[in-house]
Amino acid sequence: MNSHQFNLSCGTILIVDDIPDNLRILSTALTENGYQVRCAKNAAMALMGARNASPDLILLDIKMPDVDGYEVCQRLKADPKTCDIPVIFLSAMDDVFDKVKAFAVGGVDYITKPFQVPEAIARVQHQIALQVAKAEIRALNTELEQRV
Amino acid sequence: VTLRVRSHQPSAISHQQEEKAENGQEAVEIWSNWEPHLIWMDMRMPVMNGYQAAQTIKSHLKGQATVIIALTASSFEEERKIFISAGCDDFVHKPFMEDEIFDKMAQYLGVRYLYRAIDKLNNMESVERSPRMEQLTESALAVMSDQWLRQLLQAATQLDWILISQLIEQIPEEHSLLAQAIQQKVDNFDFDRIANLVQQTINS
Repeated sequence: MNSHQFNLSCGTILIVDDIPDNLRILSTALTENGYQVRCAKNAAMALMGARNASPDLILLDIKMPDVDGYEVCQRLKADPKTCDIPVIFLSAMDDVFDKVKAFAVGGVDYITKPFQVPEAIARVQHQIALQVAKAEIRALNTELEQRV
Repeated sequence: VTLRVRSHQPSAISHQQEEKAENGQEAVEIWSNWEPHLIWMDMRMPVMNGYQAAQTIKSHLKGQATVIIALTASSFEEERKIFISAGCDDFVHKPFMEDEIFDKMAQYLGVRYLYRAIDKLNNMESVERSPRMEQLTESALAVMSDQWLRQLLQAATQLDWILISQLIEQIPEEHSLLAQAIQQKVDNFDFDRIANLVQQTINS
């Protein structure tokens, strides 16, 4: 296994939002910051995309028609293929959304809309850093186990 | 009455007399006998070019009563000066829009147009219809190879728009509508529709 480079500005991010313009704004900002971005505008596509090519992080809108973000998150966490992918919720600022529920279903953070791009980038980088650190630990553990 | 010199546009003008000339010499002959109100003059012609024809016509006193509009593919300001110096009253760039031609005639001849409502309606429909021609269908996808379709299916289920763009680039020029149709779906994030249609195409 190659040693992980501690580069915060790389990784694949899946954005899920039913409003295409939101997808465009966030994907442009993240792409400009060096991330590879994929977009889904409903729950079905989000689950399909996450399962077929695991992203390093998912930005997930809470308020979506049909299946909402909470439920998408629960389904992601129930699937062994996608359960380890961190989820950051996206929520409208004037929306009384349940922050406790957001964490209870497995979210790691949340970003309020309208997006402040630097804030969104900072939160994304933070989660990516945690992911990288976790991967480092896993790699070191494997190495140790092999030595023992 | 108008004289069209070597313009291959089909005439859309009714209630107007019109003659055609194939070259500059013919244009001058027809003009001298017939005295049209306006001449659409192609500037590049054999025998006598539009420049010479315009100069000849404008050198006559009665030529002053004829409006000459140059039809030119050139967009250089320099050429414009040459046409005007030859006696052309105005010029229109090729390819020209129908509206432009009608507007110029309105400007120089003071003509007014009566539009038939039904024609307008048909035109509007065809304008609206054209983007919808870029519809993504199974039969349109069937022109691509099985391997390509499988790659597209995989890219769509992975929401991988970069890979889809690369696959779109492989679509031959003659199927550019298919390329546009897929790109449109990608622009709207309709990866599920792409995946479904491709799957159906592979199955059929």
